[in-house]
Amino acid sequence: MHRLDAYAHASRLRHVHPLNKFAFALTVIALCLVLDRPAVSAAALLWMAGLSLLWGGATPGFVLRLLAAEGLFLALSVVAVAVQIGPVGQGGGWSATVTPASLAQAGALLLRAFACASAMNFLALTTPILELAAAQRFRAPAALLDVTLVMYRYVFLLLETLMRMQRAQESRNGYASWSATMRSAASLGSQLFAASWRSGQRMEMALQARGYEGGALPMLAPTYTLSWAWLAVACLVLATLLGLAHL
Amino acid sequence: MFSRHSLRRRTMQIAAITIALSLLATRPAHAMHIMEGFLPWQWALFWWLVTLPFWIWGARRLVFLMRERPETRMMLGVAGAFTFVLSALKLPSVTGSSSHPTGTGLGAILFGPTVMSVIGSIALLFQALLIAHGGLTTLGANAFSMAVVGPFVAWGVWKLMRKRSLWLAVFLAAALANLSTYVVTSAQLALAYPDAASGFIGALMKFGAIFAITQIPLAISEGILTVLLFNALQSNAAAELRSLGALENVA
Repeated sequence: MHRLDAYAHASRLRHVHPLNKFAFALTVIALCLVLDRPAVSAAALLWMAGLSLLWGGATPGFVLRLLAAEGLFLALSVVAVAVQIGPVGQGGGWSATVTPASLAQAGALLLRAFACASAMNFLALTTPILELAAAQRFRAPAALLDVTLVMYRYVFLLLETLMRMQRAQESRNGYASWSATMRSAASLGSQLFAASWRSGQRMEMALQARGYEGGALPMLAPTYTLSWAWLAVACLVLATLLGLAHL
Repeated sequence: MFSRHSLRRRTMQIAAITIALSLLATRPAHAMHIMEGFLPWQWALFWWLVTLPFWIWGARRLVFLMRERPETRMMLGVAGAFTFVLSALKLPSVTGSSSHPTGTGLGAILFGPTVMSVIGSIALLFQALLIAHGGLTTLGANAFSMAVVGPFVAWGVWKLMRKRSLWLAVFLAAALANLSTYVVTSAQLALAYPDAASGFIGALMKFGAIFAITQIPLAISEGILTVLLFNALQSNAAAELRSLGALENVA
C-alpha cells in the first residue's frame, strides 16, 4: 500500500491533470465493458500495463503483484461461471458440466477483468488520492471531500501506529497461539480506536487554535501542464481499442 | 481484577470460541469485493443507481452533522480511517494463514448506518486505489453490499438485541453484517451471470458455495473478534464510546 502510494507520488505522469487521467482510465474501462470483445480486452491489458511500466515508472513485478492481489476473487468466481450446474437427463439428478460455450465466456471474462483492473491500477499508480480534490470542479460537496482528505491522511498515520503496536505484541509472543492472536487483535483494535480518537481531537484543537472555523481546508494547488505527448498517446490507445471492436 | 464468576464465564466463552473455530479452517481472504471489470456495464450502472439514494442520504446527514458540530469534521475522517485500517488487523485461523475483518459491523454500532454508508464507500474507494482491491465501476455494487446492507443489518440486530445481551448483540451484529454482505455479493454475481441450465437459483448456489469456504469462517471469527474488541473498548475507551452514544440502552 505504501509502495502503491509512493509510485503514485513519484510517477512521471504526475504533471498531467488528474481529471484527465481519470477520464482516460474510465473510458478504457467503459470501452472494455461495453464492447466486450476479447481482442479489445487484450489490447487494453497490454496498453495499460505497458503505460504503467514504461511511462508510469512501476516495476514489472509490482504491476504483476497488483493484478495478483485480485487473483483470489477472480479465480473463484471464474470457476463458477465456467462450471454449469443443472438437472441432467430424465432422473432429474443435478450435476456439474463444463461446456465450450461456458469456458469461452469464462475466458473472455477473465481477460476483461484483468484489462479493466490494469486500467484502474494505471490510475492508482499515477495519481495520488490527494488529487481527488480536483473533483471540486464538479461541485462535489466540500464536506465530503474534506472527510475524504482527512481520511487519507489518517490512514497512513493509523497504519503506522497499528504496525508499531503489532510489532510490539509480536515480540512479546502476542500472536503465538491463536487464542492469543484473538486477544492481541482485540486489544490492538481498541487501543487503536482510542489513540485515533484522541489524535483526532488534538488535531481539531490545534486547528481551532489557529483560527479554523470550518469550511474547506486550504491547501496549495498543484500546477499541471498540458502534455501533447500524453494526449496523443491517450488518443492512440482509445483509437486502437475502437479499431479492434469489429474483430 | 475479575470476579470468579466473570472469569469462569470468560473461560467458557473462550473455550466455546476455540471449539467453534477449530472446526472451521479459514483461508487468507480479504472481504469479498467484486473486481473491476467483472460486472457487465448494465449491472454496474444498475448498482450505482441503487446505491445513489443511500449516498445522498448519508452525505446530507454528514453535512448536517458538520454544520451542527464543526468539530465532527476531523472525527468523521478519523472514524473513516479507523474503519479502513481495521481491515488490516490479523484474524487468526487454524491453517496458520491470516484473514482480515470487514469492520462494517463495528462501524455501524459506533457511528450509525447512514454515516457508515458514506464512510464505508470512501473506504472502498481507497481500497481500490491504494491496495488494488475492488473496483471503480463495481464500486456501486460493492458499496451496496458492504457499506449499505452490512451496516443496516448490523444496526438492526444491535438495536433489537442490545437490551438483552450485550455480547450476543455485538457478535450477531458483526457476524451477520459480514454474512449479509456475502449473500448480497453472491446474489449480485448470480444476477449478472445466471447459469445457462438452472438460471439465477443455480448461479446463486454456485457462487454461494464457492465463497462460503472463505466467508462463513470469516464471519464467525469477525463476530468473535468484535465481541473481544468491544469488551476492550469498554475498558480502554469508555468515555469515547459514551460520547458516540454507543453505550445507550445496553444490557
